Amino acid sequence: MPEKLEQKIIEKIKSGHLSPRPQWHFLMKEGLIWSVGVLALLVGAAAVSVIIYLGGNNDWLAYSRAGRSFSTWLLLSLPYFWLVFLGLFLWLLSYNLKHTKRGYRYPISLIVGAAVVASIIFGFIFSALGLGESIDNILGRRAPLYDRIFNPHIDFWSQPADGRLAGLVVALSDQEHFVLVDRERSRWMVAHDAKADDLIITGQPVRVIGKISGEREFTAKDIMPMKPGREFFKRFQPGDMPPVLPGPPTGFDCVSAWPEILNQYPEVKATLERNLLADKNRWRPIVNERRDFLSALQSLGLSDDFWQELLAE
Amino acid sequence: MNKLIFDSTVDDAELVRWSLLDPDKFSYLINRYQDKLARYIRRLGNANNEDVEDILQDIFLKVYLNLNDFNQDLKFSSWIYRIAHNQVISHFRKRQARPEAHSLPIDGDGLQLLADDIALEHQSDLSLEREKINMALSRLEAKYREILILKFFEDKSYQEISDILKKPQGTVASLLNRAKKALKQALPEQVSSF
Repeated sequence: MPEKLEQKIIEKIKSGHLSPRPQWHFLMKEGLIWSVGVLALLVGAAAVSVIIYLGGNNDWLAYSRAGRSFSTWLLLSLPYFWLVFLGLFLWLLSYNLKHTKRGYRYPISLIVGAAVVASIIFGFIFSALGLGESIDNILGRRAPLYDRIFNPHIDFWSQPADGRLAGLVVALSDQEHFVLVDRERSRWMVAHDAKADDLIITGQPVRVIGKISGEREFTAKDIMPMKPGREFFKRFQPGDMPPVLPGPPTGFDCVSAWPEILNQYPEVKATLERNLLADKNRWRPIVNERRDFLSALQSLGLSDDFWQELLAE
Repeated sequence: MNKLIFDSTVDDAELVRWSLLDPDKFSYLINRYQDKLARYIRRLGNANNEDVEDILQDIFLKVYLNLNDFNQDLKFSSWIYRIAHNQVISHFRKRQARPEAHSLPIDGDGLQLLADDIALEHQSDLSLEREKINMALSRLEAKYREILILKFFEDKSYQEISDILKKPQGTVASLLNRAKKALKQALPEQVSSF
């Protein structure tokens, strides 16, 4: 066999014009493995930086104010998506490390350990550079289902029945009231004491602990700024929604203002009288139900002709 | 220059460099390794002469095409054994055959080493029990058989086995322990415990 086989092989090499694969082919292959590994490390580290950002702004101490036990708070607010995402990229990093030229020499536990440690170290570096916050802001502005997938805090803080409300401040009614739009785009009138004035700024998101005090009314006990998820709530800027009318100025008495306004604008008065008379059969029963209805109508300062026609059968 | 001189005095790395420059020089590497690899192929699985030659051809062609991938991080012999190992597995997988019975009887020093290592008693009767040990080896799972063959019959060190099978040395050590236990269990009672 020996001579024959040797000759066969050399002949096959020559007749097939075979030549060794160039070195750059192997360098590229190894380079690709390392590149994918480094990419996996960077993406994993970015996930760590977001986890640090979400965790660092989780306000652990607020659990007692929110009326929840610490373990419940922890379970509800863990960033599951980011943990799974990190797990995937740790696997990819470990896989690539294992498949480098010398990677097989190291036990898998060492490789996975190294991947975890490297991701955490780089994660902290990225976090210090503000990458975690930037990623959260970008996703908050653009990602669909941001509040359901990427940031579990928003779900936790959007439970008004449980006394937690989060949203965007869209208007200041007076010193003790502001209008807030939640993630369902519902508006809430929030009553508060003046202590949190510096947080209540139009166009800024806040978290409120308190209780529902009426139909779309909420009384605040505590108001806190919103950090993770702030860009998400800025999607509900007033420009996206029907304009919020400013509340009446302080000290305004609308009862006494009407006669003056109607006398100042006779065309408005005429329109009002005409429409009331045109539809008088519909609102006549109200007179019987509400004794104060006629008095209220009288306070508008409508004309004598109007009353004559109204009272005529 | 005398081929024999080349074979004994020139190291593998040098032969690789020569082969890269001149395909004809690759014959020295073929010469140096074909017998060893042929024995290894036969120990690993049931292959006739034709199969062995086919597999050897595939191995050496693969070695030639990948010569630039060899670096001196590991021994050339480990590198070529790694290619040979993978090629044998691939060959039997294509044939959908499990490399069960080896066609080259296990014999010689390797058998003695193995018997010593698993503390076989009554070793004066080892030659009589050779067939039973062969049978026990052939019944082992492939991963156990191949590591026993590499260690005791190919006389490879832990480092070399690690490089051939691409496993950490720790894994090689524990796999070897499990292989020896499995072999002892597979041996008929009268051989393993007198």
